[in-house]
Amino acid sequence: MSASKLVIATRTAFSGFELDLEVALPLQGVTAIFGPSGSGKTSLLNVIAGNLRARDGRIVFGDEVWQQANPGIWVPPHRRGVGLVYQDGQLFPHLSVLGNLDFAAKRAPEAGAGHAFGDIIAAMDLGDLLDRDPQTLSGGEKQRTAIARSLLTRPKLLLLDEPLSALDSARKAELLPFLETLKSQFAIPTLYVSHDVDEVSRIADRVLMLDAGKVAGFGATDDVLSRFGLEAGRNPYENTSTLLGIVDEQSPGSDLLAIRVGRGQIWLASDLALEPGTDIQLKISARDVSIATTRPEQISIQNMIEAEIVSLNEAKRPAFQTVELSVYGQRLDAVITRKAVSDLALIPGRKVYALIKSATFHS
Amino acid sequence: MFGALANCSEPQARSTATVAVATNFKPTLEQLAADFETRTGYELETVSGSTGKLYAQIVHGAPYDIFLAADQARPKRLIQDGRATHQGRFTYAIGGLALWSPRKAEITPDSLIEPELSRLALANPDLAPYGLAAMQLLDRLGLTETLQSKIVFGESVGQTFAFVSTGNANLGFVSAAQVLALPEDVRGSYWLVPRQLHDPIAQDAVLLEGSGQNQAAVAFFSYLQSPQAQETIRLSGYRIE
Amino acid sequence: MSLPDLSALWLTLQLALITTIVLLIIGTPTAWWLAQTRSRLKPVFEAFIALPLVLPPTVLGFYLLIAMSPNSWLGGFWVSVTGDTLSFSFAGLVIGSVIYSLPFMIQPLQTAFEGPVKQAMRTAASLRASPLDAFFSVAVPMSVRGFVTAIVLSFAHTLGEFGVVLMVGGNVPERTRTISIEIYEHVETLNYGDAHALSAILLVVSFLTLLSVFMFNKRYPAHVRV
Repeated sequence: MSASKLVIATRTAFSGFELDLEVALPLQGVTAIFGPSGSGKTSLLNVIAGNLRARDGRIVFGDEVWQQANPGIWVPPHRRGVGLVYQDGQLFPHLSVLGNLDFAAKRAPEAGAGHAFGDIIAAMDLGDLLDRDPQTLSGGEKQRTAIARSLLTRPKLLLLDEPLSALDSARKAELLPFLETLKSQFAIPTLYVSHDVDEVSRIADRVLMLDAGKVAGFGATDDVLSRFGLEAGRNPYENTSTLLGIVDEQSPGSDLLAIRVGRGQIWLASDLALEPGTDIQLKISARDVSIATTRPEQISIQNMIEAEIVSLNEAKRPAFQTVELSVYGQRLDAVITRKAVSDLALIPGRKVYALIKSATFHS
Repeated sequence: MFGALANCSEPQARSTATVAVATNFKPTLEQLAADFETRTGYELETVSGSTGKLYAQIVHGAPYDIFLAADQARPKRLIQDGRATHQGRFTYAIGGLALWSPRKAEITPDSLIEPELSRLALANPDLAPYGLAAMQLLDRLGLTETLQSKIVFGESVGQTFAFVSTGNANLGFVSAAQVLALPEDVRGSYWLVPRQLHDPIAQDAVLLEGSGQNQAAVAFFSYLQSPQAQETIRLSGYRIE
Repeated sequence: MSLPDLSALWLTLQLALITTIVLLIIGTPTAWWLAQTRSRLKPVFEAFIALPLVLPPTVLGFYLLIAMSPNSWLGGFWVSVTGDTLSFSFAGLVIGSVIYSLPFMIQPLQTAFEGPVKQAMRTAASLRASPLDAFFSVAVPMSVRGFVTAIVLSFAHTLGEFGVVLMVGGNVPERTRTISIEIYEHVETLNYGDAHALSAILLVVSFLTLLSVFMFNKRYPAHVRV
């Protein structure tokens, strides 16, 4: 694509916070907008889309002026051609999946290279879902439908507002490939809001860092992430631990894998077909780990492994604590309620069992 | 104590009586009540409404002592049904009709046939004797058919008055007493309808059954027939006969 | 039943129907505006609209009587345009009924429009739907329950209207003599038989109307699938 840019300049106070920035984002590939919650990421998207009106804002898309103060120009949201995908999909409840998609297709502009209805449905794998009621869809299915719906309007610009944050780690892992398809197959300039380093490092070409409504950094993804000491796998905004293990076996007829970690073994669900003996990295979110002080059941296939409590630390929310565990020498963090910590008498040095709800696999 | 009461033949000392009065007579009644209370020290409570509504309430057991109706029919029915005492009934006033407009103009019977008359208000003849008298008048003048489309009914002579005074009806048949009660400068103009042109609007009073023992009620009942009371009533625009 | 009574019933149904249609036309944009606006005057408007809920109908009727008089601005204007007074006319009753039942149309609609509809409108805009387009293709289908409630309540409320009609109607047969006035008169003149018959009809009609709302709400989800 050409070197056209999306220029955003605004210095406005909204209720509760302020946006003060001036950036020119290349209209090509995926630009991540990254920052802690409350930094203004979602508001920035809403300003670009036209849902929020900054009094003194200036927004120029290539050579189209969308908003300007002097002389006053304002293009309403429905004329900007900006697709917006929300955290929870926001599908219309009174229409089926197909109805939602048709809604978009009917209003798409005729001109311009668009992608065929069928291609988009196939790319988002919606073939079986077309006559479903949106309320019966899973989180991931809703998001895929929402993305397809936006694509059908042939947007000039795609804004994704934390599209994966409402999903658990396993669902996220399922959906990321679709996002990568989105990028490679449809090539629409995209702004991707997230607070997850893994997503950002996988998808984004460049990163705009926001902090309290101001620009904290901007540049190529790897540059910006390393400049701020953020690495995939060690995410300060979402606590993820990495365990190294070896595949022991795959249970026949199901998608469970037995992974050997240290001297222990744990069964986890995975779509991947892996050979025994494969080295594997397990990325486990602290939210997906819980702690038991006794073995709950005497069955052989269990998603738990022996661990020892190393220390108790603060967690993001005051009602919780982060429990640092050692699994045969490897660090695993769990986020547990304070009440549970005191009820179970979790203290450093105690031997417990870590139950792992889900993990993503990286070879 | 109740046994003693039952055996008593003297009127019991009760200092309050409740008077149910037809709306058109209410202002006059208030004057009479004030005078009566001063003279005797008894107290009167007043309830007003259309004759029909008050009658229905009495039939259903409303605890009134005296009923001042705007007609004779209802009091007679009460006596027939045993709800009023025989010796109680008398005509306390004879009402007059007035054809009235709040504006200054000359009102005569011809005003009824003027083309500018778009709305003529009168009380519902089924509910109010003044309305019945007005309809009788129109029949007598042979105007019932021609005025049919212009007539609007007030629920009572009070509402009829409101229709005319707010200008929603150009003319209306109200009670002469209502018009004469207005201060001179806002009295507008009116035609006092000659009494021969309709059945007399004889307004009867009855003492209700059970109130014969109420000293205040008995006292007021005879007060109404006294010369002082009759003078007040006459001055309000009624006749006594 | 004698003929005048049936005409009163027919008149009442007509009044309720026309009032409801008028309310739908003026109430929908008003409720929409109230749901969208951030004006500081919003509570003032809401209080005004809710007044008929708390004021005695006689107060409303009284002010209407004065406003409809040919001596006043509204009444005088009406006479000059139509040659007839606004009071004691069917049109006058419609105006009175519209004011009297206004909150019953606006409040359910406003509630429906203030819910998930708001976010859905933003979504629709991102899908290139203009505000008018989005209103009909998204807001209305998502608010079906609100519409049904508003329409039925307004209709039923007008069926039972009495105080306002009494004040400004003038009891003109086939023009302003509604069924509630008819019943009142029967009671006043001790025709309890006729009063019973008419009251029973009104009770049954009102009950069936309301029952239909609750059955509809139970059977259909919060919105209609199109």
